[in-house]
Amino acid sequence: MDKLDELDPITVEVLWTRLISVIDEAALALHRTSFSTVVRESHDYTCMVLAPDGQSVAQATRSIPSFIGTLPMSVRAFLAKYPADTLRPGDVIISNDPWIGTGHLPDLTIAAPIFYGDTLVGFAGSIAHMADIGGRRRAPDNKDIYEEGLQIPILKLYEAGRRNETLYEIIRQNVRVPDEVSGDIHAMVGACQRMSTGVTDLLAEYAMPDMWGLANRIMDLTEAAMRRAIEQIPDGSYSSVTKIDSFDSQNSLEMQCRIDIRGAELVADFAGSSPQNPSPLNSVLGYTQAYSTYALKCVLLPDVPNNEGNFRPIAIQAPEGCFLNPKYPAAVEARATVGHYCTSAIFNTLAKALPDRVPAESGVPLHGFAMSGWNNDDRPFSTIFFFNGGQGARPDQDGISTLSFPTNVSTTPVEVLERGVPVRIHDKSFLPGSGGAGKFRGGLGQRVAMEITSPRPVTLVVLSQRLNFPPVGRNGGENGSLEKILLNGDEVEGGTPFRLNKGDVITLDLPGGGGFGVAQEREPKLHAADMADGLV
Amino acid sequence: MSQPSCRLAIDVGGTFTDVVLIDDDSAKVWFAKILSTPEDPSLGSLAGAGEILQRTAISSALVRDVVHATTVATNAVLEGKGARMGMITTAGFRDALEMGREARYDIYDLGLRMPEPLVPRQRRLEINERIDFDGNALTPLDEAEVGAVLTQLVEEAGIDSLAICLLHGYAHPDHEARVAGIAARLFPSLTVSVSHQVSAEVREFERTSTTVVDAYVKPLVQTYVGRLNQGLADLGMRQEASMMLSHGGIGPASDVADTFPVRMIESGPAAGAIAAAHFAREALEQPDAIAFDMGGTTAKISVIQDGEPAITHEFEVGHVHRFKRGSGFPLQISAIELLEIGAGGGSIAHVNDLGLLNVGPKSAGADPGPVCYGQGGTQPTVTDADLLLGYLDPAHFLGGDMALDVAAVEAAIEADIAGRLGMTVEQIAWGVHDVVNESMAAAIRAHAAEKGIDLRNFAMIAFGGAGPVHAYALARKLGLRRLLCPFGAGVASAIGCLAALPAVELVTAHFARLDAVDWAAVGDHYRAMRRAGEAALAKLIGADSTIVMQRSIDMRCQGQGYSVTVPISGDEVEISLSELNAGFAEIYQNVYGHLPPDVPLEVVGLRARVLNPRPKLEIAPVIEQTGGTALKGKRPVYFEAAGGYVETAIYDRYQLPLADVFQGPAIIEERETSIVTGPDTTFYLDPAGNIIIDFKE
Repeated sequence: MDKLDELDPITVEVLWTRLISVIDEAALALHRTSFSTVVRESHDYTCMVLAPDGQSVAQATRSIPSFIGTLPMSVRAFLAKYPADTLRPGDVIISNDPWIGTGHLPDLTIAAPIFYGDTLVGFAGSIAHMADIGGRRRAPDNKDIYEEGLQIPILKLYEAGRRNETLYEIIRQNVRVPDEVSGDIHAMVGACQRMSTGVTDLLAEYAMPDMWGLANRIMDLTEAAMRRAIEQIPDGSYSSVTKIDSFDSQNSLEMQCRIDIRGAELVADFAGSSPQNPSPLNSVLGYTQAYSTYALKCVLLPDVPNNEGNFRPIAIQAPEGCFLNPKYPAAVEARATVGHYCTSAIFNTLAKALPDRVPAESGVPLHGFAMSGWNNDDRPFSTIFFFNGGQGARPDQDGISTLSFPTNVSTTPVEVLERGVPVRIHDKSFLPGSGGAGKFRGGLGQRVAMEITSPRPVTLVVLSQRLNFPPVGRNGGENGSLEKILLNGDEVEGGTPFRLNKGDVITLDLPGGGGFGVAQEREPKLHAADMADGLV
Repeated sequence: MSQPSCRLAIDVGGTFTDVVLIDDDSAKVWFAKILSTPEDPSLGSLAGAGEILQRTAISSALVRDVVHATTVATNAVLEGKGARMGMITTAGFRDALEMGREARYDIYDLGLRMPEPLVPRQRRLEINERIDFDGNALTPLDEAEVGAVLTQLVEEAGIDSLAICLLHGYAHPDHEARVAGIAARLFPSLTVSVSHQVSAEVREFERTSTTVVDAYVKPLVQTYVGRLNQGLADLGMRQEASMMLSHGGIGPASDVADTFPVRMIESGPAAGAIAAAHFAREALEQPDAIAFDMGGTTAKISVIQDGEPAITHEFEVGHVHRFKRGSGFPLQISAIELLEIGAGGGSIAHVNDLGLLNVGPKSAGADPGPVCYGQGGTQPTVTDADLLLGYLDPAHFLGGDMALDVAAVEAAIEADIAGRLGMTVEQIAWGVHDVVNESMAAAIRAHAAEKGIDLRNFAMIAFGGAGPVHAYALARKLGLRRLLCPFGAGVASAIGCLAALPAVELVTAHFARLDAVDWAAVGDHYRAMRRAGEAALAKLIGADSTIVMQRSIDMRCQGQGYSVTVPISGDEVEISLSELNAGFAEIYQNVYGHLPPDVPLEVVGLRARVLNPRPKLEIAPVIEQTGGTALKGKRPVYFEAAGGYVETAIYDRYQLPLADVFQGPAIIEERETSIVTGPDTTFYLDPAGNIIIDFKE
């Protein structure tokens, strides 16, 4: 064990680089083999190596924030059901329980124990969003989780290398696109195998008995850096209120966020936020924590790779029963629609402590189209695709137009979309004037106009946002624009599913980001350039 | 008089222009290295050509070919010095170019920047037309409107280059072709790039981006090539220059400039990879290798399999963040796949916020350079660490032209790093070498994983100033067994120009389920591509030369977004379904590890490489037999495998006897670099002048 204490600052750097490269290799393979458009085009997946007790040691470089910290929670729950001493090489554990995972059923979480000789040295975990999980797909009137699809409790998908055929068949039978879903599960298992091999090769090469020496150094160094970053924030209590749309235009949801800074520790508390509601607009605590932590990390410690050390000095709390910590069996599928606003709430609060470091609100969170029906060649399809609003202005520059934030979903190319889905896009362009004015302007939102071409009706759910509450500007910057939805030219509300026929045209105006600083201070040449390009 | 037998290669780099002249009859070569002339690179090129002809007293009439590699197109993009551009697109889509993929290349960086579009919004104009993915014209083209929009762009906005990018133009080019026709009629002097000609592939943002870069560099490349050809004619050359292309073939420079100059954007690096492939074919039994070119600020990696460099169909230029994928302009064209890493001799070592040792990506560059150069550099670099480890000789750097200051390096490492980390200067020196190697190894491993190759079966070919210094430890990390340091490594890209074949890459979009492909139509497409390829090469090789067409088909599992390029054997023989299925399964499994069961396959594109096969390049190595001894002396050198510094033999590369097997550890010095090899190796000089290093079992 002495050897572990010997890891010097050079060896730690070399091994940390190696470990992340092992995980990135696996994530790359998962990305390229996946069948689901969401995984492929939107990087809606992650890979991670965890310590034997479930602490996260290193995560894939390129994955969206939804998964920060959720895999450790899942693995701890897996261990509670299958204690470490019962696990065998070749076991793979699976679940999509939102309360121990990523907050909704379409995300599958799997983890495989890594054995080095007879020793359990850690876990390889991966998460990916499936193309379908059964249920009433993204129906805004789902009242509880039973309507949302297949629930997979914590089970072994593989037992000592043998696939659990019963479970496998149940999954296949309960999803609309079984080949795509089983293909993606296959890819996830392959990714875990790659990580296991990579970790054991590394241990062998450096003659280490287990991963603890390295894991502890990585987590401790990261924790220390996060503590130093928090110490830079003036001590005190800061609070803000952020309002967001619900599916019911009469009732908005309210996020109360208070951040307490005491020395090197930070507590963010959502006490006082709206109660959980009988719609899928509920974000389980793990998801609330993921997006809150993400916002803090962006401002405080963006350059250090993700691992448990980031989170040790930070506590994110929300009282049970509010929409940011709902109780089972609440409907939760649209958790992204509200959970992404945790980033806004944290920014709005943190800006009071660090007014020169926090950007204005973005014109996103997520605007998605969930569509299902029959294709032109009479094959059933079910898909979701995204378009993005504008980024909030930054303290030193304009926001970027049409940029995904806080998640990171690429848009599907129109030429690809039209080949796969019975729609025709008539317009996809910047929405002039949508970015909030300011010393630095908010990034622009966009207009997307889409005509249905399928001879049979399709069902469309617009995951609408910001119909009532625009992205707020910062330090005197103006707000960004509101979202608008038009059906055949008439303004409509989002939320309820549309049943659309051939020739119907749905138009979405997506908001721009808020501005930063007062508009009078904007450099005249920036304003002139905006005028010449027709952006304002 | 017999057929002229000499060929000339000119590679323009950032600092030096390398010129190589070869007489293919005798295989004799001559090298010249002169300073580049960044203001007008053709001046340096022509001066170099003139110098080598004068020195060798070879008449320009004996020069059959001049092959050129240049960074002129890349630099135009990086420096924003291209054309004043306009763009015409389908109504509703003028912002596709600027919207991009709508994703961030770094999810934690709130201050990230995107590249400024090369055509500002005010010069991206729309026309009312629409074709669906099946080719139905939903909105017909209005020729009067096209004329009005063109007039606005040319006469009011003053553009001198135009990109035409219409939705679904990759498969249904009718409207694009008509717009181009109108432009040619109304404004014959305007340069025009049309998306279906530049990049006939689906995905509007990537295709538009490619077309825009093409149009952006076109006027400048045309001027440059014009000057170069004029200069060559003035030197008495009978043949116009041919150009090294990103995909590793060569084409007539003036045609490249007039058609799709975007194809020469990676000209220089492609030439380096072609040279590595040539060395692999000549010196390795199984020509599978990692080409490793490490210079002052970056390292470039390419993968050679079966003697050919890997080709990609998507890459980027003009990065805002040089080493971050997603921060540049995507290009959908064939190119030699190059991995660029921010690690070079000038990369700066420092202690990061966590208290760990980091190296790069910040570089001291050539100015002020490493501490040991004594030109004002104060931050320790990779080269400084290499010096302390004994890999470089302080008295004989650059053939003795520059003395290196060891004491200054020790002081800088002590002050900047060793004191803070509580470690010795020697530990830090090895740490810098090890950390930079690990970050390169990480990038190579990820790249290998992406390609599904097992590195342990690959050799490494090292070149560039720092390549042979780091190759031994890097190869050891990656588990490679053999290392090759080629003869002529200092002018590798110019040698690549001579090894490259005249070639054209063509692609035709074609969508169909594999069980429902119209093979007659596929045959027609390939015949058309062959004719197009022959026409493109005719100027370079004459109309009656041998032409070979290598075919491949892009296929994927139905529903997947990524396709796999499956080669087809033979030239014109019928395509066999079983061969396609088997080829797909093999490649898919190599790349992804497993083939999903029972998913139908589909075809998405047809590719052809039309080329003119030639006898392989023969080079007679120049070995200076001055009668000196190979062993120059001994000095202490650091090797991890030896546990620290060991007394190590220092050899003069140019005096090594042929075929004798030497034991490592050793340093083999040459003019531009040092080859480092450890105690766990043996090495020898092969008849072609290459140093071959083998790891002991």
